[in-house]
Amino acid sequence: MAAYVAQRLALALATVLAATFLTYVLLRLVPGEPAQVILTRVFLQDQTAAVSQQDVAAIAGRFGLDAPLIVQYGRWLAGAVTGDLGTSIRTGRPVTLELGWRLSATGLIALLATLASLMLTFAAVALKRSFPSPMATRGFELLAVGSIALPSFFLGVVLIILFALRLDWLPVSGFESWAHVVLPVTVLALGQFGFNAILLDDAMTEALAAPHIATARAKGLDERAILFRHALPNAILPLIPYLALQFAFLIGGVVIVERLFAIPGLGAYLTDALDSHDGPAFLGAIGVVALAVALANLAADLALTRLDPRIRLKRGAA
Amino acid sequence: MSALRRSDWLLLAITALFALTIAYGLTLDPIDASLRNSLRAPGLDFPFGTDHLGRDVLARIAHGFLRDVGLSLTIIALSFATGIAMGMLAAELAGAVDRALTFVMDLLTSLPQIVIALILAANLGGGELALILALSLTGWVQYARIARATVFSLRERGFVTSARLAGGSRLYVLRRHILPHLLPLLSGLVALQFGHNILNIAALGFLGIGVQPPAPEWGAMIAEARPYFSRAPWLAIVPGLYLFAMTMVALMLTRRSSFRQELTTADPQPGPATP
Amino acid sequence: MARVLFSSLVLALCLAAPGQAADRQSALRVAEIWEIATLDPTQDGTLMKEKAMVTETLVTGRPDFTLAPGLALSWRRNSDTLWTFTLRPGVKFHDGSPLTASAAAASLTAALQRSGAVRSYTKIAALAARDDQTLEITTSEPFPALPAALVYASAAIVSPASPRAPNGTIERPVGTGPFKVTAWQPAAQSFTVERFDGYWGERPSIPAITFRGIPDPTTRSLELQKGSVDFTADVPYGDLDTLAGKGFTVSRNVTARNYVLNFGSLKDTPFADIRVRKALSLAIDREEIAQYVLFGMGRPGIAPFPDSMDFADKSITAPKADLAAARKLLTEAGYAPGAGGIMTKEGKPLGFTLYTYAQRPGLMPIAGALQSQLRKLGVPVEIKVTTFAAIEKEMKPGDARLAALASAMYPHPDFYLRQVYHSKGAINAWGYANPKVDDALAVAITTRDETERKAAYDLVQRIAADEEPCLTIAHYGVNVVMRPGITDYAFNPIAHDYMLDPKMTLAR
Repeated sequence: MAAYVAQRLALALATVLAATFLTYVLLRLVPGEPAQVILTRVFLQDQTAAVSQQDVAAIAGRFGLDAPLIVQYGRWLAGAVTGDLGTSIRTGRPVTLELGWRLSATGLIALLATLASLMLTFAAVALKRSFPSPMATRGFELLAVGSIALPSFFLGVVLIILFALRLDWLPVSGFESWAHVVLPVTVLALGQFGFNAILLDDAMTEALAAPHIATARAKGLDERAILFRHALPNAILPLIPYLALQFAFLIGGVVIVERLFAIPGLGAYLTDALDSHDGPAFLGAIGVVALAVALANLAADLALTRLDPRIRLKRGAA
Repeated sequence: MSALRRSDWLLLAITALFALTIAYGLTLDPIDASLRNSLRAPGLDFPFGTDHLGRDVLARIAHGFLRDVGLSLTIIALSFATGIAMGMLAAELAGAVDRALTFVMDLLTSLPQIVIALILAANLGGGELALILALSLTGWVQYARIARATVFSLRERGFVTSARLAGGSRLYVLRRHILPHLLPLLSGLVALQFGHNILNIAALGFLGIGVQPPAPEWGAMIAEARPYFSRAPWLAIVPGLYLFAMTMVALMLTRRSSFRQELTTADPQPGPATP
Repeated sequence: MARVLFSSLVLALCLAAPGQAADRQSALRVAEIWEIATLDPTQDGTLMKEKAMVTETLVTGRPDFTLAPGLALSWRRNSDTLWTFTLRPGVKFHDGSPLTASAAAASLTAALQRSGAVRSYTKIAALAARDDQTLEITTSEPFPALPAALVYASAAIVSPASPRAPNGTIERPVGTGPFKVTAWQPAAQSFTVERFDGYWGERPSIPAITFRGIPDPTTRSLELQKGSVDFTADVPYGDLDTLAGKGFTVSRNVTARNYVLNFGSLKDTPFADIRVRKALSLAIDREEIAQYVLFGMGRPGIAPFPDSMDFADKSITAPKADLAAARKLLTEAGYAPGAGGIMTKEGKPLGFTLYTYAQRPGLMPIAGALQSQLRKLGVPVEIKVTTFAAIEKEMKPGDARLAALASAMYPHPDFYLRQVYHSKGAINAWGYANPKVDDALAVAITTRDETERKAAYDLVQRIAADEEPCLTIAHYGVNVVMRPGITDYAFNPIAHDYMLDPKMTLAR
């Protein structure tokens, strides 16, 4: 078991390394001399100032852009291992510090969105299964598929107009109080809800077809008890690796939601850093995202191994 | 599927209405503009109103449909071909090649599609090439995972073993005996990816990546409409509804097809599209 | 992951805390239009000087772009390159220390080191404090525009004691302005300034201002309508009438920035022919763009400067759009309608890719409008939206760029005219060369005679409007929207985005 965990962990780290290295190379392949790009994007924008060679050289020296690519990445990595992700070009602050701020915002939203979507999922599946009827089935399907089909950037605008302006219940944007969190979390949660619901419902169908359910039924157990005590625990299993996969999707969704609601989170950090060509900031953010996704996958894997005896057997045999 | 259910009729009606408006809209010019007509409300002249440059929203919806569908199909074709080839290759050669390809797949799914698209767009400019590359680069992984798992599970089955014993080359066996089993399994994923692509293209259009203005694209249309939302809400609502309807139809079709099978058969990790 | 959870919990606790509700009651809440990444005046000078009113410059500009005393009461040019600035007495930094010539010199020296823009705008070679009130500045070349260049916000004077990060970034500027920074939450992109009691000038009536960065125009407009923001700028142009109808104070202003279409090159391209440029210009209906695309947020014009600027040549008027005249000019230049009505010469169709970028809200709609207007002339235009930095790399000689160019980063005609119209101008990448322009600019920068200088700059402006090496489409407009109850606000067009006014009053 320990060997398996170690192997998976090594693989996760390798993924993070490869992702950051690729990002680094791709960033440097952006057309234009990097120092010049930084100068115009970060410091001048579309101001009509003369760009002198002296300025370009100063930037290159300041951010260590004159060393070969691999050396620069090596420097970055050596720092990253000790928790030093360099200094943001735009703000002059340590990237680690800024990422900490951004992560707390995004982490909170992502966590709440996952919880909310799971609650919605269980509620919807429980309702559908408790009152079986063609109407319930169709309603469930419509709700689930509809929530997937609604683009977040459209839903977000509609919700702001409705709940922040017309009804005046919630704030429009920002990240200052619990009320600020409601709309972004709703948008993100609805986006995930559809998939979770369909997946759980399908898994329920399969779990209900298992032999031990028939035995339970034959024993005359209450249908509710069969549903929730015997079928549900088995049906949750396929949801676990999927939740991990969803993590990457969640970060993607966060990019849009944070822009819509002006939340200073990781997604906004990524886009802003890329827009202004703030290499250290972008690379740090990518590293964090890749690490989070890799760890989420690892956690799901381990949880599954723990929970599902069949998988344990299979791994043992392999 | 014997008789149509009521919800199928609804689906059919929506599709028909959708098709009719698009067909009509295609006869109109999506770029021709008269600034003096800008931000007209829906009416007789312009059934869906006009945008901030006085362009006909219906015409843009229709032409945007063609573009979105074209892009989505391109991405599917690329992902599909790459995915099957890579998946079968990994399973067939096994060992180090398999491990390497699996690692690449893990790597590509470790970053959100939107982020990959952002990086590519920074390199290639925000054009359609960056969009297609970004979505295909991540899109093929799901096909590959399913293909790989299927090949692994089919390999030990009788008909494959006997074909191999009969002296069929590796490629021959893959093509004649495994591919036919694989294709139906992937059809559900294709429909699903179609829906996702439309949403992703729209989302990237919203972030300013992909389709270049003034070429119409639904996501970009919604993004362009945001500044005028309080004055001309139809500008965002119409493309929003069309986007919703189209994705809905695509997903409903997925539900009807064999999608649920793959979720359970494709081990080790089921591959629902990273939405 | 554990760390994420932990910090989320910490944040959750913070969110639950009551916050500084009492503070916010009387403060003016401003939605800033950019992300607030830093308070360093050398990096974001306008935020600290023009918006937050924390820092001040030696010289300031009046709304008509003439100069006024700032932290310097007067200045004198001793020789071609040597200047003496006499500082205003009795000025205190927010930390209570007095403004001295050596403090000013130290502040400018640091700004020169950190900001390439300050270096290139001011051309300062050396600084020296003669006594407490006298600052001597030497420029690297004869530069009569030095006082004007010192209006540039990144050249603001801050106390040498301003806290700095290890890499030199100023974390909290200690300035001399009517407001001082009292709180700065970089994580929330917001900061608060409070009235500085030791201010040398008139005491503002507003006790405090909070700034929050909301880069999205639509969100700013919604926040305003919601009542959670009192003051903002650059809301979506389409919202202005709606906001005015709801009782908000809407002011539409022209600032020192031009919407300019420039060609990739004027050598060996169709645009080398002045008739082609004039034809394109005549086909552009500037009035229509200003009214229907910009909703009045910009003034149509072909001259380098709008009338409101003191140094503008006010005799220049924009000709009315005239499609027939434009066609005639193209015919004279040898073009005839070919396949699909596209104007063609020797088998080559006249058409180009128009590059632009998204950061300025007017650019993409104007690009769309230009496309449809030029189409009527038979000139197909393809639009490509990318970033400002990328355009330079991608653009080919036969293409064009639509940009919003700052026409007076400091209030002096030399800044813009030299960069755009001089044959060696820093942004004249299209290679326009007219000896008359170069000569006039040389006369203007060396003469000591103000009338001669004005005549020379006027001549350059007239040539610019006449030959149109690049097409000025409109002068940039910025809107400022305030909730009802804010009075005595006057917009100063010298602002780079928008400006707050220390005289504003606030009624609840």
